[in-house]
Amino acid sequence: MAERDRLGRKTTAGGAWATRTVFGVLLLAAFLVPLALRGYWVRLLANVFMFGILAQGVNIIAGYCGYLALGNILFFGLGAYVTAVLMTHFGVPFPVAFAASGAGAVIFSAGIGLLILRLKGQYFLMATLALSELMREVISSLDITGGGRGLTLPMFTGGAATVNNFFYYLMLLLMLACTFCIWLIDRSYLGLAFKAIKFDEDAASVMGINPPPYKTAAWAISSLFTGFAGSAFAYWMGYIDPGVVFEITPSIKMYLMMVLGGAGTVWGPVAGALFIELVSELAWSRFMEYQFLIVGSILILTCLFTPKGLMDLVGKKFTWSLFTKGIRENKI
Amino acid sequence: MLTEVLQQVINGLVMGSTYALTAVGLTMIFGMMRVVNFTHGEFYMLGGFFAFQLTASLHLNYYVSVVVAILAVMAVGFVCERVLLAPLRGKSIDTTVLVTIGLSIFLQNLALLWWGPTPKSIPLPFSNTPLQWGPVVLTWSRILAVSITFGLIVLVHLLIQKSLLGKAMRATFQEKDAALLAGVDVERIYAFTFTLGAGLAAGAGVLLGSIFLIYPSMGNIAILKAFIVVILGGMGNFIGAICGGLILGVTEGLGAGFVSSGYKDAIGFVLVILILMFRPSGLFGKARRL
Repeated sequence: MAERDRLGRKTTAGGAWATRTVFGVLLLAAFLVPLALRGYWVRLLANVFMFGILAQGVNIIAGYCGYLALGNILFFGLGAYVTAVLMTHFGVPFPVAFAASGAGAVIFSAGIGLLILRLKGQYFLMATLALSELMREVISSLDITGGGRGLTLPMFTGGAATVNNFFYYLMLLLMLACTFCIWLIDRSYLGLAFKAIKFDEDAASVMGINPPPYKTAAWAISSLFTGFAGSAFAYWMGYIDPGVVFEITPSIKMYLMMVLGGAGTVWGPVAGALFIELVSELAWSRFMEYQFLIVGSILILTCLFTPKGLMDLVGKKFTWSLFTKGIRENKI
Repeated sequence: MLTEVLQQVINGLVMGSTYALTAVGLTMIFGMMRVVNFTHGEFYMLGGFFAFQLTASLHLNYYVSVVVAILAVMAVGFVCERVLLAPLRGKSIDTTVLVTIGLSIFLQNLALLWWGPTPKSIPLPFSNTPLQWGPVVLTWSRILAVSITFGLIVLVHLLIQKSLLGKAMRATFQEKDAALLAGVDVERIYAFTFTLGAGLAAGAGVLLGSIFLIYPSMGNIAILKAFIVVILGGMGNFIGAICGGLILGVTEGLGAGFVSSGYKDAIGFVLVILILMFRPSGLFGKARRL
């Protein structure tokens, strides 16, 4: 059963049809949701998919490549503002602005990445955090971005249902595209190089993987996902300001989702996003003020006990040693 | 023009010494122990709120409540270190960072539930009317804060450089195994350093809370400034932390006065990125590559 291909991965021969069926049904259901459910649920799920994209964004750089880019919200803000500025000041249609947001995020991350990806561990983390705060300050002070007052985008024309459905499918397709992209990377030499860098960068470079181009590529892909999400978010909301798009909470939430679902796995971050957003949405109505206490606690408990994510526990027998294993072999 | 520059420099120095004060504890925890501790801002905030609770509700003497507040935060810090950080020691830094972030969110929102979002001020035993010296304006609480800052930093510096305990601390963070072999109780050193760092953060919170206002999210901006100062001054370098704090304060003061007040907070982040790229050992550390 456990045959291995040329990259040393297990190839699943048959027996996976049950998983595939469940997967297919879920996918079909996701596409049919807007036909069956009310606007509230459509908007909620679109938001879940957006967080899925953000979590996949940090998954590539932190989950696969091992670089904790805490300031990744930077590209969300950048994407949102590129779209907003192009659409309000230059009258550019959304698809073009959307593409420009992705391109802007990639150019920015690749340029800066070549400089700061030399830094490791906590230094890289601090540099990305400083960059995102700097970007927020600059955008809050520029005239073209409307400063702290923010920007109002042109309205999406159509009824409430059309708007909901448009952004639902946009976010869903974007999330599926990101996940497909990660699936491809996971199966390729590129993904293997990322994992090697995460495991031991010095060893990887001895084995003939030159880290800087790979790390830059990882961060560029990460910024592309995040920038697209920001662009779609800006058009969806119709109004953005620096406080909304550079908010610290989503930036922490996307890490929580990644770790909870499983860092460095293809579907983990999406599962994490679904779990966290649905739970917090359902709990919201009653425990509004306890929301962040719960988020903080889940983050602590996840990192301590299940650093590999909940998906890693599926199918394993629950024992005391499984419980303490998370602490003993603590690595995300 | 000249008096304007002078006032901006003085303002910058006062702000800078508050930055330095916030950064001293972080110099120990982030600079020496290499724990990227996002909870530092919450220790700072808790220091302010404990002192507020003791003076405003329990009507304790100001100076007594300052000491009690600091001790209480040290207890919180000790428990956090033992329960959450000690099991992760030597493991991946990623999970440690995320745990401190989780703890920071938790404590901040706990404070929000308990004390509410309205800013509060700590009742002071001395009047806060401004003193005018020539062109320069200052208040008593600021002078108190500045002098305590310098006193504390010198004390901590002496503790680490001159005492046997300090020697054990430096040994532990440079080469843990060798320190263990030489008979240092490494775990106690970790717990002690973290607790002391938390106490210093609380001290900063009490002193700055007496000057400004206290509110649950006050740690957010404080910790960003503290990280900037620690990186500017060089990791684990106390004299560097003073100079880094003053440099940041003065640059911000002059930048706000003569360039644009909108970019005041951006200056620090630019400095950090430049320092990390070109001189990662900080302005005052020995040059070395990471």
